[in-house]
Amino acid sequence: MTSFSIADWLKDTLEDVKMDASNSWKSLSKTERITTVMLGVMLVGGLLLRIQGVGSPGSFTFDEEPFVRNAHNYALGLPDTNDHPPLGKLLIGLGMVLFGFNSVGWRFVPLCFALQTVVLAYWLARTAFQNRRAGWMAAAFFAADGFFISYSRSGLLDGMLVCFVLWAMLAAMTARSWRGVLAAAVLIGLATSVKWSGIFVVVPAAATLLVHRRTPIRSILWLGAAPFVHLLVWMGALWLTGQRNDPLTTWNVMVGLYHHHLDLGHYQNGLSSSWWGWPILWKPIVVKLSETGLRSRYSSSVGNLVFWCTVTLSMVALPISALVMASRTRLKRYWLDFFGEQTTRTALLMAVGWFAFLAPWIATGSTRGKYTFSHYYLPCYAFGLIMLAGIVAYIERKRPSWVVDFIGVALIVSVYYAPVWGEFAMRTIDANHRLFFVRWRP
Amino acid sequence: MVGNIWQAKYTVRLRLGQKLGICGALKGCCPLTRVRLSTNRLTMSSSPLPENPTRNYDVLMKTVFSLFVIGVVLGLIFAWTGYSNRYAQVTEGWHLGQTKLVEVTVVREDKGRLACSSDVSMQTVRCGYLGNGQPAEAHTQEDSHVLSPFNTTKNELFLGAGLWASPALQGPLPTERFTVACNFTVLGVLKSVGLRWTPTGSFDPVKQSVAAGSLTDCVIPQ
Repeated sequence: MTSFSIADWLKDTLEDVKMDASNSWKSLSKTERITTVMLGVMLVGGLLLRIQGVGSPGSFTFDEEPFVRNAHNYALGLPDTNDHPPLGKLLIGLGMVLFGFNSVGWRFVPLCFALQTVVLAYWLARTAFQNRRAGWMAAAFFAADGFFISYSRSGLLDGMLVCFVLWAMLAAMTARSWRGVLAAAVLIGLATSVKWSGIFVVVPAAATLLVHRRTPIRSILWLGAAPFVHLLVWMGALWLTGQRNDPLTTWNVMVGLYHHHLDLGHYQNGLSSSWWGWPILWKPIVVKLSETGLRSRYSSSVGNLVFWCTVTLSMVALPISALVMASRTRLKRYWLDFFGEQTTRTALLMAVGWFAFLAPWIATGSTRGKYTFSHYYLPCYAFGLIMLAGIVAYIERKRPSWVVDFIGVALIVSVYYAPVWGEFAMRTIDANHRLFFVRWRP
Repeated sequence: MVGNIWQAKYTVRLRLGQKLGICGALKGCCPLTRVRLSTNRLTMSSSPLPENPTRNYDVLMKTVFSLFVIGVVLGLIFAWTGYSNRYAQVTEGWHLGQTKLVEVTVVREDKGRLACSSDVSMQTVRCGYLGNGQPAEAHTQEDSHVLSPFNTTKNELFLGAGLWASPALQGPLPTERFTVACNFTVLGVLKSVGLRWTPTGSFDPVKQSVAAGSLTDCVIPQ
């Protein structure tokens, strides 16, 4: 990467922003301008909500301890005893190298990736739907959703996993040659190296390559490089801790961990929840909870209820509609008249991503049924929000008043829930007004 | 029409460039350039390329770059404001010989519940049980010298002796959970210590090193 090209990209980006801010603004109707302002508030508010007071509390919350202690182990050259692949912990360790063994240190890198996820949401939606407006909407939706905010503020792996998943999808979406597919494979490998569930992104990525056909069909085989990237990352991690790191030993370590995961179904955890509960917010987790005098600080993973409900309903309605549409020519015409082929196709691709990350937990319900958690839904929800952004941006062209109402209600919900997402000091009774189901409370 | 001719020429150039592996040098095979040129041509002809297409070529690089920028900017802000110092791990500031104020929340039944096991004794304090779980010698059971495990309200684990012997806790104790603030003097650090949180429970080994010392000047904040 030369300094010239960096300057070029910066210039391009600034040009994009400038163009959005001036030319686009002039071309917008009054209703669309109101929507734009609300999206801006969501975006800026969401980013500030992620960053402010991220170091609080100074102690471990939720599952931070095993990840952070093992991240620390890498710095000390001690073995990683955690039951997830090493990359996420190596990245957390990077933050601790910069800021020390404290809460800011172990939350720094996950926060960076969380901010990056908002950027990726913009690019993925914009590229997938060929619509800049869809990009801004996706970024705002991600920014103003508590599910993402709560995991942004914790030293956990799931936020980083989503970032790599979206990155891999973006690579697949923008691939124009085998190199692009290889880039997607590397990113899939990195996602898998954060958590094994990252491998599921191979399904929507492959579907994207097949549907768009912008690369030679055989180039899809390059996705097979992902497991090798994963193996390399793991070998590197073993080398860092002074252990044997030949491929066979590494493979045995992975097999051992696989058996451990199979065994996890026998464990009980009060925070666990079944897959069917995730799309209906059955049991979201309060990821961070601390006390300050008579008040408490919550970071709940309850999402924005407006987005959540719309995504879930869309995920039920879209495949059914697509099936009906495929069989009824007349309906198909009406549908395509309203949504257009591009929007429908891309929305279905995102739905594939949603199902790809949910289906394995449905399939393994008999073995992992007792030990699954709501944050496994985070990548599904990411795909859902991208899909929602694309559809909303498309509808806005035809019915801007619908969209301004939708975004307005979503913004109100975000503002109301911001205190329990961003750990504002509040009374229990006020928190309970927001976390109105007992299951939602800590 | 002009656009189509240009596109045909461009495609030849693109394939040639890719074949020779000189895409970097031959700017014409860069999709970014393609989009720019084709956008210009769009004004002159009806090209099949979509309106306002995303410049796919550099999207990935832009996102990589954005992560770098996010990291650097956020890192600089945190470093400049000394943000991490405010959240330096709470036990990080515990030094041998240091006395610091700690706040623990207990119930009166904890007096008989909490215990630790270790063969190590330091200065005047030691655990009430040996490493094998057997009670230590009788004279060490005197409360002000027997260590018990506590968690501070900031979730710091430490071993303290003398809490229940302090004058503030000699009268009738609250029936509910209550908070006690004490001066904790760090006398040493115990490794491989076992902790018990219930009278009938077993001693579970803790993996971390735990600060041990004496608790004095305890008060129940009103």
